[in-house]
Amino acid sequence: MATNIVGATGIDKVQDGIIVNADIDTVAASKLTGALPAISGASLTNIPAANITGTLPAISAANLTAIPAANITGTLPAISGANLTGISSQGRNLFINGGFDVWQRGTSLVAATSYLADRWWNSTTETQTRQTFTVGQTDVPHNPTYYHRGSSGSTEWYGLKQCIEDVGITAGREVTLSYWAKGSSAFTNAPFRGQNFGSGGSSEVNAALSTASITTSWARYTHTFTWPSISGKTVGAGSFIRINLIRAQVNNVTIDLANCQLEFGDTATDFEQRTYGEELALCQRYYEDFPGTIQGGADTTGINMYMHIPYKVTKRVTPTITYGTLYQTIINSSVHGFGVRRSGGEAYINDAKSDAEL
Amino acid sequence: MVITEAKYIFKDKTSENESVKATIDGQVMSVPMDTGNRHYAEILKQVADGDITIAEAD
Repeated sequence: MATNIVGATGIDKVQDGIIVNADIDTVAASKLTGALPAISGASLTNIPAANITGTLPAISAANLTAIPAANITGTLPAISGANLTGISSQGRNLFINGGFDVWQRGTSLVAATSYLADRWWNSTTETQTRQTFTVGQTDVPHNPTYYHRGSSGSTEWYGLKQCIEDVGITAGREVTLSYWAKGSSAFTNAPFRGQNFGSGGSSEVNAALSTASITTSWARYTHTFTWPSISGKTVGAGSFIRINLIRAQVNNVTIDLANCQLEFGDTATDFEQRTYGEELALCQRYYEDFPGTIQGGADTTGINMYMHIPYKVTKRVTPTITYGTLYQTIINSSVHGFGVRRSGGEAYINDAKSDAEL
Repeated sequence: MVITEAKYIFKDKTSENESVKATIDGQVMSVPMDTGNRHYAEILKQVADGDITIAEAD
């Protein structure tokens, strides 16, 4: 068999059995046999779209870069947020002062049913105090500054709750309650939830949540549940939900509580740490104090003196005003502030407090 | 709440009731006549129950 062909047309040169130059118009498909050499697509240009047929292989998006936004058109597929990380979600904690940072009323109160730590109602007769974490402790993460301590009496129900405005916000939605707690003795916590439909509204709906076995060491406890729908209910002014976060029948037990959170969803995320200023402003919608004395007008007999005291934060409703000394009458109260009138002397008030709590 | 005294206060320069001066849990308070206010709601409840009365303003 010839191994070299020399010619001017057709296959014009074969050297050592290899075609080194050719002018071939048509090759019958049946003549193309054997293994084709691997080829690179690098030199393929201007391939008509009509010639790209068949099933394309699956490709990764890893090599797609610099795609012009204008070329991303059509309907995007639905995506889950499950893989989105590092996105800050401000305001996810429905509790206000969940970290017990704000104590406008003081830091210790003995044997009284009342508010002490802002927004937290002590619903039984106990001693409440603000406690300070040791700097650098790691029992409760993220370095909270304070925690709440309640000391129960003998054989009684200990209760600490928070009411949250607007029964509609959580209706029909799943939420997760989380908190850090410990006791001087182990006890069972039986938190409670309630939906209050406000003035003239439907009767309150409430139910117990799952229980938690609180130990003598700091630990985080969670309760996930779904609020009932409010379909068919009548909602009046001042509606709210309430969480009786600690509810336990105990006997001389000291109960410590920190970093409480109520959030949408079935997962307890890290405690949301707002700044002190943000937390204080949120609290002041419900309570604001005016330590010291406020006085105005001339100390003159025979005429009426007036002064107006504005609030730093608009209140939830027109608040109750309490005071130490008052000359003479509270007037013109609103959600924005209040006035003091005195007939025949300077208007004067000290140790004033405004209370618009639920 | 233990309410031991309650008296209406007129709005300035009128004879229209504006608030209730009340002693609640031993503390003197100026309570606005707003049903969303928890102290006024309790005053109304105790009035309705016949536990207290609110004195007329001077």
